[in-house]
Amino acid sequence: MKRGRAITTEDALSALALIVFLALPLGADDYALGEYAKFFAYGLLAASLAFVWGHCGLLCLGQAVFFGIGGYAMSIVTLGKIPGAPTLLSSWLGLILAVAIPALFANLLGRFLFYGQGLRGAFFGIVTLAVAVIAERLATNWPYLGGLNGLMNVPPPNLGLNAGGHEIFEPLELYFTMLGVAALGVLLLAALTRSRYGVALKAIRDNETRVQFLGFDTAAYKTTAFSIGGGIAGLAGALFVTQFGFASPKLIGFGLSAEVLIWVAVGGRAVLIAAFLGAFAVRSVEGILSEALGVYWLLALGVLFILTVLVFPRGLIGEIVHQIDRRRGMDID
Amino acid sequence: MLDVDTLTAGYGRGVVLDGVSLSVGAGEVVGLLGLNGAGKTTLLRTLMGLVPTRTGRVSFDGEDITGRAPFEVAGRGVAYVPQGREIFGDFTVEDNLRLGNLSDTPFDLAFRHFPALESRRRQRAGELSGGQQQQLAIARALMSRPKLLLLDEPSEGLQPSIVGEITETLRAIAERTGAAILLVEQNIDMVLALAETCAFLETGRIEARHGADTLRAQPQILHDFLAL
Amino acid sequence: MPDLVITILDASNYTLILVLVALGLAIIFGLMNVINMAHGELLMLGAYVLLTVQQLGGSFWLGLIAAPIIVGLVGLVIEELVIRWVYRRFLDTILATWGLSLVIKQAITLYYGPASHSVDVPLASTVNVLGAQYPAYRLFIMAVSIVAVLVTLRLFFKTRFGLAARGVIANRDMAACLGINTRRLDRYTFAYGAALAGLAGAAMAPLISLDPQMGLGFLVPAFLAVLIGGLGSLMGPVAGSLAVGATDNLTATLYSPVWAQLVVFVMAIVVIRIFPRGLVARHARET
Repeated sequence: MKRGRAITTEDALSALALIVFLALPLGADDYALGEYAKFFAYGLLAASLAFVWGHCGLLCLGQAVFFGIGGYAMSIVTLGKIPGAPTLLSSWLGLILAVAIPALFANLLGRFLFYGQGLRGAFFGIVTLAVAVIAERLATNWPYLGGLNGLMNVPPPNLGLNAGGHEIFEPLELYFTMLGVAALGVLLLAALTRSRYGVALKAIRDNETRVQFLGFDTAAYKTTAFSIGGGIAGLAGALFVTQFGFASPKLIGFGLSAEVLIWVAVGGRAVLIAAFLGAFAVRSVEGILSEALGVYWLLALGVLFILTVLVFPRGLIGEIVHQIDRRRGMDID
Repeated sequence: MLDVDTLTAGYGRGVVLDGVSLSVGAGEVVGLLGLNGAGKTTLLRTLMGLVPTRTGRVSFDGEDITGRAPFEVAGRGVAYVPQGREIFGDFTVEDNLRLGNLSDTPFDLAFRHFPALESRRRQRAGELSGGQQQQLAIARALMSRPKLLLLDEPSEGLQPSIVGEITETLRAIAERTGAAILLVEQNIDMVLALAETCAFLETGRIEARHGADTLRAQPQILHDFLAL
Repeated sequence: MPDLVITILDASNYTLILVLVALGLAIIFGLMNVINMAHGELLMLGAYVLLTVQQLGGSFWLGLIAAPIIVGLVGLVIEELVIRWVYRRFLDTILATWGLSLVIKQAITLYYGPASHSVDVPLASTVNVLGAQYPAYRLFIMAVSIVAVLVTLRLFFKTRFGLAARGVIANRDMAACLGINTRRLDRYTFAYGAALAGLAGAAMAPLISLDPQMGLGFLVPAFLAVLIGGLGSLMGPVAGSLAVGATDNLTATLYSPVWAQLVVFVMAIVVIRIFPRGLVARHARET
C-alpha cells in the first residue's frame, strides 16, 4: 500500500495543471476554447512521445506518423469511406481503429527494428524519420486518402453507436471532452511508467544489455511500449481531426514530427506532464510571438531547441521539476 | 619529474582515488602495487587525463598538468601502455608505431629494443601473439621519446619466459633512454627486478613506500600488504 | 540499348552523388560518433552558395569551387559552437544537429524565401555514350564525384592526417593518449564531411530545383545507405549507396518515384534486420 508516501512533484504539477484547465473556460471565449481543445490533442501526442522517448529511450523522430494514421483512420470511418461498408459511421469504431492501426503499425516496425541485433538509439531515430517522410509522401499521392488536400468535412465526435447520437461540437463540450480524454491518456501512461512494466522499461533505457542478461526479452518490451505510444498518439490524432474537420498529409509527416519533438524537448522528455505542458506552452507562445517576431519565430524556436538540448536536457519544465525534487530529496535519476 | 599531490578522482559519484600523493624522479623506476580494485589503473588513467581530476594537483617536469586532455599530457612527454595493450589490431605494426609519433617516427629505436617487430613490420597487428602485441605497445610508447612511461600490468596474460624477456627489455629501455617508469604490476618478481622503490596503493591512497632492497630483504612486508 | 545505357548512367549519377553525402556522414559518425542530422542542410547550403555566386555575377565554376570551401567553413563553425558540447552525449548529438538543421533551413528561408530557385546547367551539350545521347553535365558531375571519393580515400589512407583519423576512429582514447589532438581532428573532420556535402549540393544544383526543404530528400537515402553499407570501413557507404541508388532508380523507372522511396526503405530495414552491422561488416560499432 502506498500509505505514507509523499506526493511526487510530477503528480502535484499534474493536479495543478488539471485544476487550471478545469477553470480555464471561465475566462475564455469560444475561439480560445477551440484552440485549447486542439492543444490538448497536441499535448497528448507530446505525452505519447515523452513516454516512448523520455521513459523508454526510443528516440522516435516520426511520432506524428501515428497521430496522422489515427486521424486518417477516424476520418475514413466517420466519412463512411470504409470499403464495402459505407454506412458504418461510428465514432467509436473510428476511435478503436485510430488506436489499433497505429499501434499495429508500431508493432510491425518494432519487430523489424528491435529484434535480431536490434537498432539502437540513433539509428532507430533515423529510420522513424524515414518513415515520416515516406508516410507523408504516400498520403500525398494516395487518392483514397484525399491526396494533397486530405479528407475534408470530417464530422465531430458522435456519441451514438453508429452516428445518429449526440454530436459534440459545442465549444464547451468539446473542450471538456478533449480535456477528459487527454487526462485519461496521460493518466494511463503515467500509471504504466510507475508499474513494474514501466520500471523495466526504464531499466532497458538505461542499460539494455544488463537487462538482457537478467533474462528479459527487451525487444518485446520495447515493441510493446512503442505500440502503446503509437496507439495513444493515434487517439490524439483521431480527436484532433474531429475538431479540425479534416485530415491532411501535414498531420502525418516530418513537419509535425519535428514540432512535437521540440515540444517534448523544451517541456521535458522524462516527465509526461512536462511534455504535455511543453506542447501547450510552445503552441500558446507561438500565437503571440509569431506575430511579434514574424518570420523569425521559427528561427528563434530552432535556436531555443538547440539551447535546451545543450543546457537543459531535461527540458525547461522538466528541469524545474527536477530541481524541486532535489530540494525535496526525491530525485532518483 | 612527476609529482602527484593529494589527488582525488572517481567514476560517477564514486570515489576511487582518495588523496593519492606520489612522486617519481627523473629516470627512476617506481613500482605501484595494490590489490585488485585498489585504483591502480584509475590512477594511471587520471594522470593521463582520461578520468577527470576532482581535487589535487599533478605536475610533470615542473609544469602543472592537472586535468589536462590526454593528448596534451602525452605531448609533454608521458607515454601510456594501458592494460590490455590497446594496439590497433587492423593496422600494420608499422602504422601502429607511426601513430606513436606522427611527425617523426624513430623506427630504429623501436626495432633496436624489439628486433622481433622489425621482421613483422608489415603484418597486421591483430595477428601478433600476446607477447608480441605487448612488445608493440611498449615500442609504440617509445616512439614519442617519453620522459615518463606509464605501464599497466604489462605481464598480464603472458607466459613467464616472455615476461622475462620484457622485463629485460624494460630494464634496457630505462637505462638507455633515461625515461622514468611508473609500473603497475601484479607480478612481484618483475617489479622487484625493475623498480628501485615500490608504492603501495590501498583504499584510495598510498599507504606505504619501500625500497626494493628492503622488500627483497623483508618479503613479509609484501605478504602482509598483498595478503599472499 | 540506348535506353538501358541512359538508365544505368542516371542511376550511376544519383549513386555517385549519394556516395559523397553518405561518405561525409560516415566519416563524421565514425570519427566523432556524431549523427549529423543537419547533413542534408549542408548539401542545401552548397547549392545555395552556388546560386548566390551566380547571382553575384560569378561563373558556375567559381561557385562549384566556393561551395565546398564555404560549407566546410560553416561546418567548422557548427562544430565549434554546438557539436563539441554534446559529442559525449550520443543521443543528444542527434537532437542538437537536428535543431541545427531546422535553424539552417529557417535562415535560408528567411534570406531566399520558401519558393524554389533554379540554376542554369553550365554544359548544355550532350555526349554520345554507347549509342545514347547523354548530357555532358551529368557526366561531368559523375567525374567530380569519383575524383572527390578518390581524394578522400587518398587522404584517409595515404596521409598522416588520415592515419591519425583512422586511429581515432578505431580507438579514440588510445589515440589521444598517443598525443593525437582529437579536438583539432574533430573540427577538421566535421568540416571535411560538410565540404563533401556542400560539393554534392553545388554539383546537383543545376539538375534539381533548389528550395530550403531539399536537404531531407538527400539525408534519408544517405543515412539508409550508411546503415545498409555498415560503418566498419569507408567502403561501407559506397556499397550502401550502390544498393540504394540502384534500387531507387530501378523502382522509379519501372513504377514511380513514390514507390521507389518506399521500396528503398523496406529494402533498408530488411537488410539491416539480416545484417545488423551492414553489408561491409568489419568492426562492430556499439551504438
